[in-house]
Amino acid sequence: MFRKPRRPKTMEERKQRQIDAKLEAPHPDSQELNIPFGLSLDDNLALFKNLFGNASDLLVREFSFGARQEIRVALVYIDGLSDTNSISEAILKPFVYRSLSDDKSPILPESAYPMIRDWLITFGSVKEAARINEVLDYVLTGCAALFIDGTSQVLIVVVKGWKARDVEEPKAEAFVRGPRDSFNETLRTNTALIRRRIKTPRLRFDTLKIGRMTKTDICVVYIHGLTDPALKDEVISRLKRIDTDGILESGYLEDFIKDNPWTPFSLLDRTERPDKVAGALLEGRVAIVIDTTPFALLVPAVFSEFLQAPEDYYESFDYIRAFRWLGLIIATFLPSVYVALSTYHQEMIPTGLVLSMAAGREGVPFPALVEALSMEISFDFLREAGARMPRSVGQAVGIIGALVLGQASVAAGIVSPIMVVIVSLAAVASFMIPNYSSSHAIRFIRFPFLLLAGAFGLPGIFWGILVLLLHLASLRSFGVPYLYPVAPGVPGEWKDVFFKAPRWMMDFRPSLLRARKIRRQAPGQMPGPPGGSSGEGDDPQIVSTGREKQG
Amino acid sequence: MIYFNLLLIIVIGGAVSLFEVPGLLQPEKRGELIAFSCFLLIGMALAVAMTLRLPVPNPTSGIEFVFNPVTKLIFPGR
Amino acid sequence: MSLERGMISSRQVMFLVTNMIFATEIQFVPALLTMYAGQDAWVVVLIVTIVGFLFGVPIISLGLRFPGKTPVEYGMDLLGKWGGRALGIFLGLFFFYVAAVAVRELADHLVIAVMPQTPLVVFIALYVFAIAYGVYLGLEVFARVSEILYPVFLGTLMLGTIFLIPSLNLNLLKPVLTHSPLELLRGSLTLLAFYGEGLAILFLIPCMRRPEQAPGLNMKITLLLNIPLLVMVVMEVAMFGAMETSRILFPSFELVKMISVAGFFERMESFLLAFWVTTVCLKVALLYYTAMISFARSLNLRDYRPLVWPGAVSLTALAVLVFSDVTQAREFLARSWPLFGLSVEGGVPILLYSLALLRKKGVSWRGRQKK
Repeated sequence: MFRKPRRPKTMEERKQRQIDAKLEAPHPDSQELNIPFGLSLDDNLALFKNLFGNASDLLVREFSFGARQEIRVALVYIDGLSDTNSISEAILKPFVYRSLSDDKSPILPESAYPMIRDWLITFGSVKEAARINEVLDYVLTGCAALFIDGTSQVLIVVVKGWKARDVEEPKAEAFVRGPRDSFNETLRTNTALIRRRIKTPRLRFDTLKIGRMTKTDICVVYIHGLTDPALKDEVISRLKRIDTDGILESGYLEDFIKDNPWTPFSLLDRTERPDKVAGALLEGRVAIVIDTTPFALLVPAVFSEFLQAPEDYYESFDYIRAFRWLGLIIATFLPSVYVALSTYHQEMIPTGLVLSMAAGREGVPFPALVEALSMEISFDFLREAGARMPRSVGQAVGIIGALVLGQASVAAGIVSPIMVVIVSLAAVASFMIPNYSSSHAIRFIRFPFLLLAGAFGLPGIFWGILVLLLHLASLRSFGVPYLYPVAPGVPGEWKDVFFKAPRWMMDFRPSLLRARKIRRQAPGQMPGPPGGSSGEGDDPQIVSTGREKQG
Repeated sequence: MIYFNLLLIIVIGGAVSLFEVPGLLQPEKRGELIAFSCFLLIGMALAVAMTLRLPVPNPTSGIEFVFNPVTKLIFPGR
Repeated sequence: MSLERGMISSRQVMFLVTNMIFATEIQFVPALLTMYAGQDAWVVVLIVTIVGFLFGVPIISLGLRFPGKTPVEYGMDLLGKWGGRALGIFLGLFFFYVAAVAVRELADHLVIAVMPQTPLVVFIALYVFAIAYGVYLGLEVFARVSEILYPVFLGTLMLGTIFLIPSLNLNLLKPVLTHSPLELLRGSLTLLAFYGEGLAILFLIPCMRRPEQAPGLNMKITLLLNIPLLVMVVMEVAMFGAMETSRILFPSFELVKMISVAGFFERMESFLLAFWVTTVCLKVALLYYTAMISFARSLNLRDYRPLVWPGAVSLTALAVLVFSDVTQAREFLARSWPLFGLSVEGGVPILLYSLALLRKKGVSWRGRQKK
């Protein structure tokens, strides 16, 4: 009777143990090093050095202090991760002063530890640790550990300080208007940049450690009381499921926590701009900030969001949203529609155009499909080469590409000039999509559409659109339908999708994020001319504001 | 050509089975498995019979025949 | 028990049902109506608008009587277990057959109009694949897609017809009301048979997030369906004349051929045809989904998904088999289909509704509102 529930549990445990045996690093909860230090300083130091295999960046500074140098102490830290200035100012100096002081009474070994902890160390953040794995974690994250002879307690001074990049302008997201700071590789800086924008104690940072080797700090950021708690819990539980050796970039996480792994479309948004993260948090989303990378993840993300740039909200009048949708359609379908029209439906092309197209295609030895495919492929080569090469070489790639693809191939009669125009127009349109990852997906789906157009003409393209829409409609990002708010349609929210309504019209947060408080701002803030029937004319001296009138 | 079509039908049937059957091999999904096999068999039989140009009854003709007396009454032929 | 609990909004139901009826209606109905009622075809559309609305009232109140249950399930309540199962299999076969007919029609149209060198079965297999994929992903998914595609299609079609207004000859609509009631009745029956496919809404009501919005849908669907149809019928008669319209195989297709925007965008028919085909796919997806749900319920399965792909093989074969050529298709739709379709589409809900009233099963929607 008792065996039934127990058995799968032991099976699971056994399975876990088997997996653990095959992995290099121990499980974070493993008991292997979860033991206290001994009392002897020499033993402890030897044990610690041994764990690191005498790595050259592990610095161990042994010294004694007291009137008769009766207390032996050792300071252990990793060179480069700890701030040497603070170490000498806040740790080493007090010991020296104590040794040189007039108080010549000997220090008892049992009172040494509390004395050092309570009034010798002149540094703000001091912690205590006793177990080897705790001390290891602290030292590896840049703290200094103080071993004292005669006690198994280890004093941890949090003197983290390493070389970090300054807060600079975002490199991957270009814009004209908007704040110019961006995340860097240090988690604390990034959280501070968010906190600077949202000054409420309800902004919460839940921290996890993922990665057996890298032990990367991962912060789940949300606004308590605004964000749907179920969404936050779902994010955290998905993150906790991850068991891997290392997380080096947010892209690693992305693959693990996507709703549907088999899709080219990105189901999360990523950004290096703190203002974008703050905006998302205020909408009720959850942000995931990862140590050692400037790219934060935003969940959930919907498709229409990839056509929105933060700058849209900073510029007051904006017609470009609608153009981005047009650009999306052109980037995806223009080459395939051209192939379909020129292969199967010539009657749809106006007569003048069809004549000039025929003249351009004269002498081109390939069918339109092959022509388009080869142009698309060589364009992708060019783009990838330009992106991977160092900047000086990248420019050369661009010039060669423009000459070879644009000029020489037309002159040689390999492609028709109109195909060059079509492919470049589609390429430019694909660069209009603000989100880099989703423009990848758009470029990728061009190829199946080209094949469909070559095989079945316009019906083939529409077949592709149907299947593509079915696929997109089946996707979800943390439970939110990917095509929301277009389908399931919420016409009230289209004012932020197909165009951008003025700020005072967007009184509500997106409803499908299920934010606890749906209202964003007070209603009826449409600005108007100064109220009252002033009628004083245009004399600037008498013109008064409406506020004065009311008051 | 007929052999190629037959091969295609068998490949499609195999692909459908490969896609669906592994999820149905559980004791509580026996009913689904049986229904799946029946549906697939009917479909394959129909497709094979049509490829081999066997005389398969046309359901539309059947319906037309059944309704013919009433049809004649309301919609006399032009 | 039911795993297909896709929750859909009333807006999605509206577009699904309208799309389902409109997609095949637009193809054949203008020709059939002018065949029976000549230039008075638009009168038939008006008659059917009213009759169809009245037809919808009992269907929707039947669906609301049994919240969260499909017709097969309350068929079991009303007709007994085996009676309900037989009804479910019958309904499934009916919808499966109608789905095959619709696939065949769209493939026929494509082959005749734009791609005569491609074999019919290629198009049938291609589109059945897309349909089965949609149904496999679930009701929620293809409901969303029809919510996007159908309004765009309708908007494009209506926008295109605006450019035809200058070339219309309204004298072709005269004389008004010269046809006998019998001829109008023939036309009405034909149109009503297409209209009756809306019976599939019975399978959608249990999946609605807010079933109480269903009664309002009747009016919306009727208007959304009949206004574009009226526009198309009037335009076709005013463009080609009643005699010519009844002779053309696909009059709506010929109509959009005439569209010319500023002398530059011309011959849009391939584009609109390809677009229309996707709406037919969504129609078939709904019919096919309904058929699969009926089968799964009758066979007491938890999930309909295992049946989708093997069913698709049968659907492909049946679509090839169902008509020998497009003439038989038109002959069938003109003469046998109205009676066959209406006897099922009218008979099943009337049977269930009267049984429910007689045996006092289920709770009427108004009764529940009062509680």
